[in-house]
Parts: sequence; structure tokens; C-alpha cells
Amino acid sequence: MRMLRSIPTLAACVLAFSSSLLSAAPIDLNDGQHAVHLPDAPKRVVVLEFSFLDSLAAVDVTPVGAADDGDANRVLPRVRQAIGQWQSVGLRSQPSIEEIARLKPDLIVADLNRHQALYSDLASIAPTLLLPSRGEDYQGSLKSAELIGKALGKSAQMEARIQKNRENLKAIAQQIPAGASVLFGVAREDSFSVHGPDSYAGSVLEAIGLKVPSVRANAAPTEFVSLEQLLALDPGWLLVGHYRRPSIVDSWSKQPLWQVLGAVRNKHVAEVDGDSWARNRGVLASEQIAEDALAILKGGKAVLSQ
Amino acid sequence: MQRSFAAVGILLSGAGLFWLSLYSWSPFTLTATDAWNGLVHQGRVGGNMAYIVAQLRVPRAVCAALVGACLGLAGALMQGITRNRLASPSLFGVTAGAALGLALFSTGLVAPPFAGGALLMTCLGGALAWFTVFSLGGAWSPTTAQGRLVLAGVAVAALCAALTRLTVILVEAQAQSVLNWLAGSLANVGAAQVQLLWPCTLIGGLWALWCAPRLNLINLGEDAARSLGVGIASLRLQVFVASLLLVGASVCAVGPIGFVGLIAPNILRQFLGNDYRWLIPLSATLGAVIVLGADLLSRAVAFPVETPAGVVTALIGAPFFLFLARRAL
Amino acid sequence: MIRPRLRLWLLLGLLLLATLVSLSAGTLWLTPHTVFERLLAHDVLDFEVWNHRLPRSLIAILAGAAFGLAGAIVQGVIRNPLASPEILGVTQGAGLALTVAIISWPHLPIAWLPLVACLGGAGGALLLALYNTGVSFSGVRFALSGVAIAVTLSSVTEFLILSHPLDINTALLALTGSLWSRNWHHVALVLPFLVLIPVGLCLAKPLNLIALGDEAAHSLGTALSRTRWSAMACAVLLTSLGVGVVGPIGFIGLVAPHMARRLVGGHHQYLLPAAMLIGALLLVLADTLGRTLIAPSEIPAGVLTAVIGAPYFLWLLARFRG
Repeated sequence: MRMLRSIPTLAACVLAFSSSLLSAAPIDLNDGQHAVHLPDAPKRVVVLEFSFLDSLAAVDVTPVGAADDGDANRVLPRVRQAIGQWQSVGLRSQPSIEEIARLKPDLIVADLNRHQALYSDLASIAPTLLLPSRGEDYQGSLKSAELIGKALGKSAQMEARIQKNRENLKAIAQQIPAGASVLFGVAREDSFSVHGPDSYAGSVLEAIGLKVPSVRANAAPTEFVSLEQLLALDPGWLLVGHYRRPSIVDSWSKQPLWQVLGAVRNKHVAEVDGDSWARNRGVLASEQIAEDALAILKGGKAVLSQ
Repeated sequence: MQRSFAAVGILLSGAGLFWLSLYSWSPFTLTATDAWNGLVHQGRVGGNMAYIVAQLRVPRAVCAALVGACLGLAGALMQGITRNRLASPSLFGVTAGAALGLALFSTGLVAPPFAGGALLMTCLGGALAWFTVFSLGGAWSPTTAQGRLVLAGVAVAALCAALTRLTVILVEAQAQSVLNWLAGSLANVGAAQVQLLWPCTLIGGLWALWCAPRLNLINLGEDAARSLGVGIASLRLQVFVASLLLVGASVCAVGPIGFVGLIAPNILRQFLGNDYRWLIPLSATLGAVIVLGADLLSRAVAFPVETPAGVVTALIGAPFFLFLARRAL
Repeated sequence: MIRPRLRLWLLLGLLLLATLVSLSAGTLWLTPHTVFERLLAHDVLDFEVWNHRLPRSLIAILAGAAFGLAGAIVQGVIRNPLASPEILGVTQGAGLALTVAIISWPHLPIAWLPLVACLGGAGGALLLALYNTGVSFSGVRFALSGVAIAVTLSSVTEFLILSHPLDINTALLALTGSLWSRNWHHVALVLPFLVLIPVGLCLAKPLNLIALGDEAAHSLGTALSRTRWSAMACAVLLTSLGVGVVGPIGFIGLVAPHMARRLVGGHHQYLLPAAMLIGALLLVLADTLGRTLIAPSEIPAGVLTAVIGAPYFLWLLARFRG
């Protein structure tokens, strides 16, 4: 009798055991530096750069922690809306390992450029992806997003989102007058840094069919320029992100020489949000940049978050 | 005779560098004609190129000359009053103090809202640094070893640089901005900076010339000077205020540029001896020549990207300081 | 009237207390009881105490002690209260070597950077030695030559950084004195201090004699030149290694010897250990503050030592005027 009563329990145990075996899907991938093995789709993710936050937002995953320089407002608004709240782990350049460990993540995504020194520590807390972020261009950011999607166990969803992104950008490209030359730069109180065709914003602009002038041959992705050099570049459109107000562009615009710029005479100068265009990078950021560019070229305004 | 030759030589090279900087190393192809039109006709004749020369190049060259003059004057004054050939605004931490004042102002931490607030902050910063250095280094005691003031200056300069970094880090966690603060550059100067500089240079220069005979007497020895009726405390105060104005104005306009105040008077001493009536005006001129040259180099070195002029003067000035330190002691 | 030896013990006690505070402080405050538990457990996955705060505090203690000791030695040899290891060109040589390495070999493994920094520091010291050959030793001239070399090296460094803006972040991070990301690997790198520091402490007697003045030292039979050079070599090694591990952290070598002198007087048997302990205390304090003031963001320890040094400078100023 006892044997008969224990059979359903035994059967239940066997079923449970086999179903857990079936749903545990280990993920193996290589981030270009190391082979990473995840025993299961991660549920607690910590990311250490804005572009990785963007990738999470693309597949509707909320991280438990993110390095946000202590200021959530620096993150793209649409990324914040998609994700919700996260715990700050400090500066992107020097995130706090204590905070990261305390969150007990099962996946960490770190910046190849900045966080190499932390890699061994991070890897002992959780499987860690080391991906490029700073100095990356649009195509590179898509590759990183794909890897992150794979690590999250959401490859199909990420592929679909990236495809949608490509279509969105193509749709925007069709509405944009061909070959218009657009220059984006970031203005501080005493310097103006131009983002060339190899920079993130520049590569997105080129992806939607705009021409981005280059400061010189073999230029770095971003270069500081003086007013004289800006005059020599003479772009058709000038888009400025002000990191601090009043910025150097504000004082340049008071000079009579400012009117010599073709963009100024044709009223083709517009303000964009520096954080969205320069600091964030990723799938949603590229769409923000493209939409802003389209709005401006059609005579409207870009989205400016405060 | 030698003095007149030196004076004429420096003036000519200054004029030559000024002329060159009007049209060389530009992303545009500027010609000498454009330079002429820009300078003389202020760009109303000759089209866009001449207009660019008039609006950008001329103010920049004038600014470079004025900044150089300010720093050369300040260096000569400081060397005169301390009887120390190594005295100069950057080695004594005054430039670093002024840069800290400017950083506090520009990041909004300590920002007097009236016009001229920036100049006030740089002068205050420089004054605090000077005061600290001179007290630490025992500047006025007769037994001070020459190098002690420099050591104090280096320590204070390092402190000011660290505090500047802290200020920028607290306000904006950006690595790039910190370096921009600490390297003076002429890349973005315009008419506003010229407006700021020329009254300060004029006042400072005239004041320095007026102090020159008394500085000569001080160099004979303080007791000798006192017996000849020189009010030493009053002279110190005047030199203090004049140098602060000069250094404060130049840092406010272009940021910290070092070594000019060290190099100019020391080179001139080779030819002119220690006569401050010649040393002061010619230090101003030679300082202008040095900064004009550095500005040209800053555009030429990695054309078309600009290197900050402060880095160029440091690259030239540091080896010079090496040479001077070995000889002076 | 507390005797110097007792003061040394007090300093040691203060250091232990500061270390305990450092281990308890961070993005989350832990009670001392928890800290002891974690220490006994030594769990490799404990990223609060065992694998983060403990190695950082150990490095801070050893590096701070090294900087303090080097500062006291340098001031003893140069006999000028404003001399410090930072002005000898060692720190700047290390910085230049790091910058050149980061720019020329961007994929250099991080583990090599401390070695590069040490080599650079030794190079800077070598330049200093070469510059001073053939001239009779004068404390102030030696210090000034250090300043000249330091300034030259740092202007070359600045030029390189400004002309390679892409590598700026990595270079600046390495050039900022900070204990961020320092872990047990770096503790292994500071182990040589356990040998160097006792060697430095042996210099106490010769430094006492030097302090009496050149003639007195000569007449008492010390091989003056040899002592000076070996003392300087020791100070350079201490500073080089320290900079290699934590980056250029200033003011400890300047301020710690002064504080030590105030506490225990000028006899180097007490002065050297006191400078060590105070240096360690300063760096532990700076690191703790840096980690907690704007947590979870960090302020580099090198910036905070300057901020702590500033009031002391003004206080020094008030004393000198009197």
C-alpha cells in the first residue's frame, strides 16, 4: 500500500526533474576576448555603459544595476521609459565593485575600453561580457547588441528589433533630401568637439544617407575644432549639443563671422541633446538621432530633454 | 649699442611672427594679400578670406602678443623683487592659483555675478597662491636659498592643480575637460579677450616701468636701497598688485601658459645685464615674440589639429629651465 | 609629556582603528562584528570585505607607508622642508612611461602597467642622477634639478596625451592616483615593500648625522656621499614601486614627515617610523573618504590627499610666519 501511494510522488519528482533539465538552456558565446558560459538565461543583469542599457531596452529587459555616472537623466529618455528603475553602481569609468557584487547578478556587461582592469573580479562574480562601447560606430553597436541579445537568451527578439531598426532608418532615409551635409558637434564652455564620420552619431547620420564632413584625413572619431576650422568645413547643417551653458557656440554666434557660415545664413543651425547624441549609443539611440535629424531637416525641432 | 640692437632685433622678429601668423597654417588658403586686407582694411575689402583674417587671425595674434607681454612683464617684476632668476608666474604657482580661480568661476562653484567676475576670481586665486608661496618660502628673509621659493611654488602649483581637478570632477565627471583647463590655448580667442587684455597690459606695463628704477636699486641690496630712500614694503605691494593683474588677465583670457615669464627675462639678461629699465619693456616684447611663436607652432605641429599653446611653451621652456637650473646655482 | 616611543604606539593604534573604519565603510556600512566575521571566513566571493576593502586597505597602508618613509628620507638628505619625492622626477617618469606604453601598445595587458611605471620611475631617477654628476651636492640644487626634470617629463606627457585623444581615458585613469580596482594581484606587487621598508628604517642613524650638518657628519666618519646616494636610491625605489601600483599620489611624501616631526621630534629613529605610520594613515583615510563621500561614485585618492594636504599647508604657513 505504501508503495502505491509513493508512486505519484515519485512520478511528480521525475517530471519536475526532467522539465527543469529541459528548460535550463545553457548559453555559450564568445565576446571577442573570452569564451563566456551562462548556465541559464540571466535574470539579474548589471551593465556598465549606456549603450548596453540601450541594448537591454531593445528587448525589454530591466537590469538590476547600471553604471550611470550617478545621474539617471543622462540616459536616453526612451531607454528610461522602456526599462524603468535600476540601482546605480557608480561612475562608468570607475564603477563600484561592492555595489555590483551586492546585486548578485548572473550576467555583467562591461566596457572593453574602461573595465579591463576589473575583468577578473567581475568574472568571479558572474559571467562577464567585455564589449567595445566608447569609440564605437553604428555598425559596431549593432554587433554588440546582437551579442547581448544572445547572452540574454533573446536572440530572436534582438534580431527582430535590429531588423526593425534597419527598416526605421531606411524609412527615414527615404524622407531625407539626398546628400545633405550635416555636422554634429558637442559644445562646452571653451571647446567645440566635432563628431566625424567614424564617430557614433556621424555613422548613424551616414546610415540615413547624410554626408558628414571629415576634419582631415585619418581624423579621430571626435576632434576639437576652432571657429576657423568650422568655417573651413562649412557644413550644410550644423547640429550642436550643449554640454554646458553658456557654451562656446553661444559666444561664437555673437560674432559677426558666424554669419559667414552657410548653415547660419540658411538658418540650418539647430540644437540637439548632447547626451542623447553623443553619450548614449545603441539601437534606440540611433533611432532618436535619426528622428531628430529628420525633424530638423524638415524645419522642426529635435527632442531636448532637461 | 648692444641694447639697441637687441631691442630692434626683438621688435623685428615680433613683427615678422605677427605677420606670419595672420595667414599661415590655416585650413583655408590665405595669402599675404588677404592678410594685408584683413589687417589694414579690417576685411571690408577683399572678400571672405580677408574677413576671416580680420575677425579671427588678427585678434588671435594681438591676443598672443598681449599675453606674452603680460607674462614677460610679470616674470621680470617677480625676478626683480625677489632677486631670484628663477622667479616666474608658473614656477611660483601664481598661474596655477589663477587657473584654480578660473575653474571655480567657470564651473559655477564660486561665481561672482557681476561683469569682470572672472578676472576677479583669477586675480584672487593668483593672489592666494602668491601669498602662500612667499610665506612658505620665506621670501623676504635675507638668508633664503634661491631654490626654496621654487620648491614652495612647485608644491603650491601641484596643490592648485589637484584642487582644479577636484572641482572639475565634482561638477562634471569628464576626463577631457580637466585637461582643457590645465593647458592654456589661444584657439578660441576673439575680440572679447583682446578687450580684456589690452587695458590690463597697458596699466601693468606702465606701472612696471615706473617701478623699474627702484627695482634696480633693490638689486644693489636691500639695505643700500633703503638708505637711498626706497620704500621696500610699498614697492613689494606695488609689484604684487601689478603682477597679479598681469597674470590674472592672461589666465582669464587664454588659460595657464607657463615658462614665458621665466625664459624672456633670463635670455635678455645675457645681453642687457640687470638694468630693469631695459629689462622690463624688452621682457614684454620678447614674451610677446615667444607666445606668437608658440601659437604658430601649436598650429603647425599636428596641422590641422591644434595643440594648446601652453603645451608648446612647456615643451620649449622645460629644457630651458633644466639648463638654467644647472647654471643658476 | 608623552614619550616618543609611546606616541609611535599611539599612531599604530590610530592606524589600526582607521583600517577598521575603512573595512567597515563603503557603499554599505558594516558593523565591526560583521567585518571580523568576514575576515575569518575569507570568502573569495565576498566583494565587500575580503576581496575588495581588505586588499585595498592593505595596499593603502603599504603604499602610504612607502610614500611617507620616502618623504622623510628625502627631506633628511636634502634638508629642506619643502622637498618631497614627487619633485624628483620619479612620479613624472612613471607617468611618461605609462603614457608611452598605453599609446604605443593599446592592447598591453593591464598587469604589465605597474612594471612599466616602475621602469619609468627608475628612468626619471637616472636622469636626475646624470644631471647631478660632476657637481658638488647641494640639497636645494638637487631638489631644483628634480623639479626641472619633473617639469620636462610632465610636459612631454601632456603633449602626448593631448595629441592622442582616443587613448585619453585609459591614460588618465592610469595617471590618476587611485586605489580603484586594486585587488589581491596588486597586493602581490607591493610585497617588495616588506623588504624595502626595513632597509629604509636602517637609514635612521646616518640621517641623524647628516642632520647635524655636513662638517659634523664628515668629522664623525660617515661616508657622506655614499650614504646620500643610497638613501636617495632607497627613496626612489619606494616611490617608484608605490607609483607603479597606485599611480601618482602626491602630498603624502610632503606632509607626512612634517606631521611626524611635530609629533615625535627630529630623531630619525622615531621620525622615520612615525612618517611611515602617518603616511599609511593619510592614504587609508583618503581612500575611505573617496569611496564613501559620493558613493557609489568614487573620488580618486590622489585628489583627496591634496585636499587633506591643503589645510595642513595653511597651518604650516601660519607656523612659518611666527
